[in-house]
Amino acid sequence: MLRKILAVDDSALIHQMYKLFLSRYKNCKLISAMNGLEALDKLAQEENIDLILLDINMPVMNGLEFLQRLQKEPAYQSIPVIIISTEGKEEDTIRGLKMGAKGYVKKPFQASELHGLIEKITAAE
Amino acid sequence: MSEFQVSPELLSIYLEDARGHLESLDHCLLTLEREGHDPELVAAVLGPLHTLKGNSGMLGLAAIKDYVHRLEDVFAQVSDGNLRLEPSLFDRLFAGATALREAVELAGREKAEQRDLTREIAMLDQIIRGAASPRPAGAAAAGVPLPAPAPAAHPQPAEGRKGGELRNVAARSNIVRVDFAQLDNLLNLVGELIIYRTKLHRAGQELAARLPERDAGRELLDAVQHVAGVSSQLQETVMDVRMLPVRQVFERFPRLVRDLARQQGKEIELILEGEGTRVDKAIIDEIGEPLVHMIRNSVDHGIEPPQLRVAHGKTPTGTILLSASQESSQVVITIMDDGAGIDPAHVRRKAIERGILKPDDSLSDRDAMQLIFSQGFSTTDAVTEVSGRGVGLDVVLKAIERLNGLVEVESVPGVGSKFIIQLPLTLAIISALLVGVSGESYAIPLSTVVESLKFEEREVHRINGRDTLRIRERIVPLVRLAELFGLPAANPAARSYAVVLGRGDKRIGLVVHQLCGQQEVVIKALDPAVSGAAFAVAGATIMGDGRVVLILDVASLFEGRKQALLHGRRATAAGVEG
Repeated sequence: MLRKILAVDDSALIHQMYKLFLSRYKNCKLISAMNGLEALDKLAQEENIDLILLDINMPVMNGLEFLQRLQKEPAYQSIPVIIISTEGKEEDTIRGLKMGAKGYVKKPFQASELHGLIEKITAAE
Repeated sequence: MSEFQVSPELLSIYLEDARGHLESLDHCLLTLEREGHDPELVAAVLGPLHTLKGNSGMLGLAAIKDYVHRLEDVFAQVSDGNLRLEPSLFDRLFAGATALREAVELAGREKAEQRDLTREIAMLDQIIRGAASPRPAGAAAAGVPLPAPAPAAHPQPAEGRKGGELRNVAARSNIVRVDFAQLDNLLNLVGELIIYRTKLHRAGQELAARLPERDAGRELLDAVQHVAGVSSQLQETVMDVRMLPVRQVFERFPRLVRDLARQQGKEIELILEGEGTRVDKAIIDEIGEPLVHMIRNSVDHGIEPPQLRVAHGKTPTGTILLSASQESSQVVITIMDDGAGIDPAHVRRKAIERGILKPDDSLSDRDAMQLIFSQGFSTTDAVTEVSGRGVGLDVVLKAIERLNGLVEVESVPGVGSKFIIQLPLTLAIISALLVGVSGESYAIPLSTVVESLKFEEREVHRINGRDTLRIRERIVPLVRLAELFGLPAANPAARSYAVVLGRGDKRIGLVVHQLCGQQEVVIKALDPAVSGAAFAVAGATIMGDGRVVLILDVASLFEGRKQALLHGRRATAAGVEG
């Protein structure tokens, strides 16, 4: 059961889409961060985050830098991360997967695509 | 069912974001053109472009996504040193940016792509092909997905900037997105609160007066005072939340000036000042168009061609200064140029030609200059591509007056012109003078009131069929509020006051029977069916005792009396001379 999802993206549009998308998961709280640094802040404030949806290309702290930080913190290492990144920077996605991300979805994505991946990853956990 | 619906809400978020990204693009191109290659600037524009590409893709806007994708490639090539942006390329990039903006705006309004970008995409492909590194020339047609670009063509994620940016904690946003309608609603509720506060205060006063020996009245008044303090703070906070920096409007002007200057072979530097000045969003939304018109006006009619400037001992490059500042409860926007200035003799001649002024009307130079805002006036003889679209500065004047603002021009021929726009910080709550006439109350925006004075009927002179009042050196035409609204005439013994209203240099004396003091009033819009029919009414407000009071639209009073006013002005001149 998903209770809390942290979405990290610098696009307000994507956050709004996540909000629509996650309305299908009952009782699941969506926490939004506009960049990696803000996401670290949210991780420190919120307990029991079940899943992180992570964009790569963001100002202030990008997704790869955020992943690096995440892997250094034992408390956060176990949180599954899905990279959701715009096409055109495939090498970054590969780096992200090497750094421990559990899966990736390419923008533009379909809701069903993301839904399927979330099911797969949470079932494996 | 599982897929995303492109709702109006998503589109509006997309559009708002995209506009910001396009501003970044314009800013980047303008700076690169002016100052040459700047690796940091190029790196900084890649982020917004990438986000714009992602967002466009999410909403299925394929042509926009493809164009932005190519644009990323162009900047990546520049960043890698494979491509130099020659001056000749900028025109094409700017044209592309304009097409992109059109496409984005259309998509935002129409929910689907309406603007074809095939030509623009092909143009970028050509630029990319011209770059040093060989790239596949195919896949140029719109809609055909591009092969994944070679990794080498892309800059690494900005690792070099990491250290500096990590310290930049202030950049973390704590921003909540709120629908403006909700803020409007909140302000309406605050308005109600202010109305009841006045009501409570009145009740407290009555109670205290009736039962002076009891504490109840006093206690109630104390409590009301506290409520008054808190509701004032609440009002200020809500107003503050609605405020946005004028930067949102100013941002588009560097690009506008650059394009216009190039079209006309002029050299112009635009300087922006006070972009951080904050104004109510309702005003921000309305002020853009009039400002565009005035900036165009400065470029077109103000700044001279370089040769002419040099011949007059000026620098070849002209300057336009656009600045904003807050002065008490007003925001002042000035547009100043060091161009040709306005010749009052020329304005007079034109005004007479166009029938705006009679040959025997005598006007000071300063007054004559204000005639450029008259309907049907245009100072250029030739209609130009820039400002000559049959729209004159009268449109600007009307737009600014709709916002309860004022606009004035000062100019020295050969030296330059300065347009000064004064606007209220907000449209929602205004200070008003409450007046009474034949048992009815009306509210007059205080910003338009010059003075109020008591007079007697025998002081009224009839000049050219109009009642006028001599106030110091001026003959001021009178408008009787009772007549205007078809109210029964007052008892002849009743006292009369003239509330002198100003619009630029013009004056009208509004005849009323009572002055009931000043008050902050919350403007409630009237139903269009009602406001369309009611002349000279800008809106309504609700008083503490529940009465609905109409707010006068002072600008339309001046409009309706234009001809008569001119007579009044002639009388002024005659009066001074006589």
